[in-house]
Amino acid sequence: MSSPFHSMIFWSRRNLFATAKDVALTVMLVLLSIWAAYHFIHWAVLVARWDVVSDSLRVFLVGTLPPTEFWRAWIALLFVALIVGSMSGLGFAFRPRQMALTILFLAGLTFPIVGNNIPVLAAVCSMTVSFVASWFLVSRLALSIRHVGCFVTGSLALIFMILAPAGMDRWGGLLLSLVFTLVSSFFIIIFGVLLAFGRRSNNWALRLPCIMYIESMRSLPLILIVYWIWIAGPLFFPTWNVAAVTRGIAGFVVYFSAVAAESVRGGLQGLPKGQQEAARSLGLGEFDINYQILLPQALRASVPALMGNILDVFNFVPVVFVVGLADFLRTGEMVLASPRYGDRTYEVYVFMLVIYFAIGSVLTFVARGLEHHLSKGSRRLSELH
Amino acid sequence: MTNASNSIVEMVNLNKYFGTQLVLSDINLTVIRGEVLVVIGGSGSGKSTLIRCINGLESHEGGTLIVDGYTMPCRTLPTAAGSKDLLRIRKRVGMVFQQFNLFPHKTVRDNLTLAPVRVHNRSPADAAEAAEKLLSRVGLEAHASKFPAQLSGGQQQRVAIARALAMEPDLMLFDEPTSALDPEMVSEVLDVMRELAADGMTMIIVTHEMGFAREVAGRIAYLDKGRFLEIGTPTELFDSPNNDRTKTFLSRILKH
Amino acid sequence: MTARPRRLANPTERLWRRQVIRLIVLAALGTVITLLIRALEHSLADQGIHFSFDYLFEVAGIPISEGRTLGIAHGWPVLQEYLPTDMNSQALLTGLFNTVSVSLMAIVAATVLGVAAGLGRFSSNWLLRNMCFAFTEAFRNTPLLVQLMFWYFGVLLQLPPITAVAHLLGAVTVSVHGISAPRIDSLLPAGVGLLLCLLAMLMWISTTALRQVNRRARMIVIWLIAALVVLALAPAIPLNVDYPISGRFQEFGGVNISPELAALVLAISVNSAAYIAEIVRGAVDSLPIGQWEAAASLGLTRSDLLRQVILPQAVKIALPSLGNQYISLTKNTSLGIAVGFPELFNVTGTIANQTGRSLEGFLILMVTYLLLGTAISFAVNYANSNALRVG
Repeated sequence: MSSPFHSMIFWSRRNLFATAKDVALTVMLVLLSIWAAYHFIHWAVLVARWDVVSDSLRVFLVGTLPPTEFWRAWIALLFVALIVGSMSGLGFAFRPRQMALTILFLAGLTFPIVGNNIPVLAAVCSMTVSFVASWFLVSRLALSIRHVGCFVTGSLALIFMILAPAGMDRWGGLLLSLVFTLVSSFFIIIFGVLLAFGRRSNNWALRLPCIMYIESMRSLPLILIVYWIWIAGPLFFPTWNVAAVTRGIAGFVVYFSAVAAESVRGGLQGLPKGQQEAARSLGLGEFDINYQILLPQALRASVPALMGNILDVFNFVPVVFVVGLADFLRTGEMVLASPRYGDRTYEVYVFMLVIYFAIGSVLTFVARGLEHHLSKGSRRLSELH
Repeated sequence: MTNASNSIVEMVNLNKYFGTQLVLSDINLTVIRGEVLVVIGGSGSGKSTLIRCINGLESHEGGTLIVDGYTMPCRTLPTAAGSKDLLRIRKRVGMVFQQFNLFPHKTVRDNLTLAPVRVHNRSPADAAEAAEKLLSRVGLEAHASKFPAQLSGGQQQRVAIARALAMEPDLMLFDEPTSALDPEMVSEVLDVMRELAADGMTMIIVTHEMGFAREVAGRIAYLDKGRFLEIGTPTELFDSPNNDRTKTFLSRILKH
Repeated sequence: MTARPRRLANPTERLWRRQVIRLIVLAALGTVITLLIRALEHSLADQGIHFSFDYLFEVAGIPISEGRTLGIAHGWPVLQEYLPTDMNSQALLTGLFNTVSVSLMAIVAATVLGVAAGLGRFSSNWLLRNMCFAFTEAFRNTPLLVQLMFWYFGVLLQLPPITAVAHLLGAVTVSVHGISAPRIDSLLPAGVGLLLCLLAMLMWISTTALRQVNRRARMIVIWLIAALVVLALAPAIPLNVDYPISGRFQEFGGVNISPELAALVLAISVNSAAYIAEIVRGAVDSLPIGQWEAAASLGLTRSDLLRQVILPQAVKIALPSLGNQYISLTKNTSLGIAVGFPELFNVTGTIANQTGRSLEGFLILMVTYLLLGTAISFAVNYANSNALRVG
């Protein structure tokens, strides 16, 4: 009865032109969007000179790593892709059609940038292949969290071992940002869980220090912790010589463990009280209750919040500039500082923002999907009561 | 044969879909002023949807719906009435919900005076005076300064009725007003509704309270799977129902 | 007997175990702290550094481009301009002043923008809904530091120099050297008094005298008086802003906002606004749909519905999360170091570099930020208990 044309008209009447104020608002917004889009596209296609991006791709990706060590970086990035792929495989089913579409879309975006740079092209292709393969394997083989956990730990250790000989202070660019985030998140989740359980302990000797620690990290800025650990290291132990990267990671772990502890605590609080009571009435000891019963469920409930924390970790990595590390943002500034590209401010910043937004959106998307996926499971549980 | 100016709700071939599912099909109904109509039916029969169409909380897909002279906008008609008409309709139609839906952050008095002050542009003093009168009418004048959380369910529902009456509507809609109440509080709400009907208010009530329906209703309509299977006076419906399904439904409800 | 699980422990055993764990943890903590302090003492002694706070009373000798510090004039503490001849403690106070002023400005701006964007997600206009969504996604998924750099290098430093800029409204200029506007206290003192009197009259009229009149009449009267106030003030704003012919501002009779300050406030406000929008959206979403329906069936317009029914309840729900966001915001001011804004962290770092007092500086910083965070928590808790009391 109603043609698509009719329903489109009706939809726009309802959603865009309902009242006089609405009409004015819609017109204003449409004009604004058209003006902004026109100016941006005009700039991006005609005015901007994108050679700065393709020429500096290596700096963006790996910072000041010497060219002889690039193979290490590629292998490390490969493992990063494997790790991310396997973790996605844990949460999501493998959907070939949508994956193919997304990859095609991304390829369409990246080829203009990377096109003539063969090594980078090969690296990106191999990363994509390993990402897809690990996702496929994990979801098809239905590997459990334990298996994937072991794999992830092993890969992280491998990455460290591969990259370390290159001189950890030479890491930079997107490689540094990603590796930094992954390694920090690994420790942050472990310590966060420990802190959250310590906070709930009946033992005030455990509980008070945990509370004080978590509460003080709430008020202190991250940059303070990172900077101070970097400075304090030589003060406390002048004979130790620890790389800036490790000190940076230590700072992030110290700070974000408290944040993660709060997320896990939120997950713990959401658990029905009956769980603990049932376990106790079975005669299980405190440790068993925590480890076997509460921890798995609390982790599942706090995964969305933890993914938000990991996104925060990634978004705050640029702070390591205070300790002299050159992460992705810093490499952008370095590129802009060279006399040849001094006036390409907008090009470089737009590029960085797009990449950051892409990665951030992927993480948010994964977090939302996990939240949806997991809440479905728990709703079914609660319907049994 | 009903005088056009005498009818307050007119539905002609009303159709409503939820997605692809037909919820109300070919409803023909005319409600005249001063009448009390009770709608009964099983769950999922569409009775809540029916009265929610009348004040615009749901919109219908086909047919005509005229409320107090204003035609309700229909989904497929391009000549949609703007929301000004909807507001006008809502000023003359009051609704009482199953879950009371009182505003928890305002006192009882503020709940009653909010709409008259902001919609009818009354002065706060006038509105407060009218609110006092309404509260004493439902028997709650002592609770004017309390918050809804401090009242029992029956008291909250009576406040909700008073809040709807504060707008001086021509038509009152009741969506299962006593279904969420503990049994001992049902009668206090029904008493208020009885008085309202005796005062001549036009009411459309969805309820399961058959005794109340028999007493108060001018007509009772049985809705089954989106259609009116039977409409008649209480005597007609309860004592000699025509339809078999009506008989089954009534026997199930009247058992206890 | 029936088989028992392996780790069954009777109450007495559990109590003993708890005590033992307690002692072990305390002993461990104590050992670790003592070891750390010992190591510290050793290394400090080796490097010839003493731990003391005396350096706070030495002359700072560092320039700070903006901010006010605390001084004593006629026995009273006053806000005065900072000079490099002031003490280190006064330099720190200048940094604190900058931090607090940025935080306050950003809290206000972020709340206004964030609540608007959060409510915009419930507009009946599809375009507005999705634009608000795009706004929150864009600014939450990108790092704050990158946003800050972009605001600074990409926006504020791209503005034309002071000599090439037109004066908006005859007095406001926006240029690469900053934003300047006339300051109200350049009015004659009498003018300020008059302004305050008029405002007080306005408030009294709107709250008491017109109480019995209906809303429409009240709004008309208020707008009339406000228009009168503005008209009365307009000719009375004298400007004493000096424009030097070349280069930066040397002196000003108005408010001068440096590009660093502007970039920091803009970046932090917009970023926090995106988070606040998400918090507000979540709070409004959690309200039962019956509230919307009841308000709508009473005939309330959409704006009345939002302002009188939805927003008060949503704010109550959102207050704790808002408090957390405000604390995050205050901590984020420490990123000002990236654009060279002299806030507390930056100043402390500079002093530490000059005097070598990093440990003392860190302790002062820690205490200060803890106090700031606690102050905000207190304020939010107070507002929360106030809101909860109402019902």
